[in-house]
Amino acid sequence: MQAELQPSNIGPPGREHLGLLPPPSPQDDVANRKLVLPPPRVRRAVRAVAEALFDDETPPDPARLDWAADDFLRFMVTATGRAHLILRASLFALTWLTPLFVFTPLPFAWLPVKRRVLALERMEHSPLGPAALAVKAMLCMIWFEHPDTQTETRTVPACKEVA
Amino acid sequence: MAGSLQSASRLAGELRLDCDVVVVGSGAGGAVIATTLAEAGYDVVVLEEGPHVPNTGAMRPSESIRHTWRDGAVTLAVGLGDSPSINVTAGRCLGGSSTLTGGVCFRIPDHVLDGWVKEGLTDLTPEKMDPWFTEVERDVHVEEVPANMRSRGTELFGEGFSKIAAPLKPMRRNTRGCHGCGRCNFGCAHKAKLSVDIAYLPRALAAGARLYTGCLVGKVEFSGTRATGVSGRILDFDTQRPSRPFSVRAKRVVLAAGAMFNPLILAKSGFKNPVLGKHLSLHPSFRVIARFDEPVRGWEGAMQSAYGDFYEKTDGMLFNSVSVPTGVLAATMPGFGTAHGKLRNQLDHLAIFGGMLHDDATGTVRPGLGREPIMTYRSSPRDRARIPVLLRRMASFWFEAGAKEIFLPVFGVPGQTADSLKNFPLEEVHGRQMECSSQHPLGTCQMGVDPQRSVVDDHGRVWGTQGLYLGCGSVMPSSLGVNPQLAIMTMARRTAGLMVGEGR
Repeated sequence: MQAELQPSNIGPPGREHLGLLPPPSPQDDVANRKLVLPPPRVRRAVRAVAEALFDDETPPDPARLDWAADDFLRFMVTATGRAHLILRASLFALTWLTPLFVFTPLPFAWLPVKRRVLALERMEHSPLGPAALAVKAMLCMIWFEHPDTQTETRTVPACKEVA
Repeated sequence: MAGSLQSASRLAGELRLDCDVVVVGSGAGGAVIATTLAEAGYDVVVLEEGPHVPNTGAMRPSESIRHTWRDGAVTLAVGLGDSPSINVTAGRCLGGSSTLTGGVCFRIPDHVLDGWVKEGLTDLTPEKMDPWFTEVERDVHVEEVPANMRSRGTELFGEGFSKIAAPLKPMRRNTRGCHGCGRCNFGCAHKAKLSVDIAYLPRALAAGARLYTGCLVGKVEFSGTRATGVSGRILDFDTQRPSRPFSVRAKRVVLAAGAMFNPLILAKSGFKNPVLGKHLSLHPSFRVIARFDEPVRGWEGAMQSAYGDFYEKTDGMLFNSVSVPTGVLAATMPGFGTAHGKLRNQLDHLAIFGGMLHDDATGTVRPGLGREPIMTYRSSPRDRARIPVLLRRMASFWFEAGAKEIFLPVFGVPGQTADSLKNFPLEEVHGRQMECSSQHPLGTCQMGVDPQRSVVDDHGRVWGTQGLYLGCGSVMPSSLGVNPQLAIMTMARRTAGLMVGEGR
């Protein structure tokens, strides 16, 4: 593809005529990458953690949980390098080690939600706490990107002023 | 003649190129060098490992991270001994890490340059560096952030900081037309942040440079001690796994792959040096979050608008305003379920500020099993002792501004009031319980005057080779103590100027 420089007012003063770099073609757009998602048991584990993390006086919206779990998986398989490995390892620890903090040798997703919350809180206070952080951080990030969450928590993104 | 920008994964057959100069990496260093050389008439090829993602401003933050941040933002420098492990963020896309900075532009402080001069780098005086800085500042449009662009959280921290230390100073950033949307590091919807993919690479392209994305450089090729090009693998666009080989023959090679990857490429190329990969400086950074009775809505305003350097010269501490997505704020809150929910529902009352250490550069980068490096970091006793001091200072600024409680970067620890913090054993918290981050990996191929104690000379030339230059944060002769984007661009501009001066 030969570069076509488009006129624009964007860029440093005096260089506006150079414009921006040409956009990628649709086949080179990262949004169109073909993804291979992990097996359903991984999705169940992610959803079980999300259900416990966002449990409140009222249970979280199931559709939003599904959306968050699906987007978490898309993140996991899209991110390069060790992200996939670390998130999978973190999920493994959450699935199999967390239940031991409530003395229940069952997979995490099999525990009642309140029991999961207790197990996660105990794990967070243990030396294994950082193991849960990667999953917690990514789930929180995705959860708060949902427009309904932003409305409910008064966190709709906004800019300071129009330049 | 205009150049070209291509995704190498779409090219048929093996990619073989010839050029005057091949530049590995398109970030703050590589883009500046490529532009300077292309505009000087050289035939330049730029190789970037990551993709071209110009539309991050329209993405959700987590989408931006998955597509343009290395390792999905989970890169870690493993803490040794009682040192915290440090989450290191870096870019992996056209424009490199410059696309995910807050736009902060500091000149290298005079006292740091003076230290380099004492080590023999006599051309790096503040006076001799001034023209390079001035040129780059013009090229990327460095301007002060006006006070009315500060978030409410920054204003509150500033109130506390003023009472105890001094007023905050306005940050200088490479922006034009900022709307204060607080998401610079996830992509600017208004293209107001003049990262190198906006400020420099269009110039390189206009001057005829050829840019290729999806090229993972493995090693530098040599004929004797002369660098003759680079070789590596093209990455499959969908899986990002290495596939077909490529090679570029060049009269000169510039490695600008950053402090994490330059030492790996050199090591794989057979280059040996006692300090290669050592002296990794990270500027370990810590956040302290404060809860106020009033709504703060800290995301409204420039992401980085003000700083406090009152303690930089004496204690090596810099305080930088910052904002993070609400989801990241939520993730730093302790607990799960209802306990976490109480905090989640107060996110609009939380304010955040960052504190950064001017560290002693005690990290190391080594080759790992895969293509990613292994980074380790053992804090010096001086650095380790300053962590609780830094955190207590930040807490005191917040309480002085009226915060009801603060949240320390210690895993699982609930909020602390001014009274409870007095009794909290912060000095005894183990490093592995601490949350620490870095956006500034530097110095693993240091510049110096002694080939046994440095990797490049004062022109950026790799000792013991011909035609091989380094031009990124890896060459910094020491920790800087300030955000390094402008320093990297300026050192790269200087190296490119010297290359042009050397002639063809």
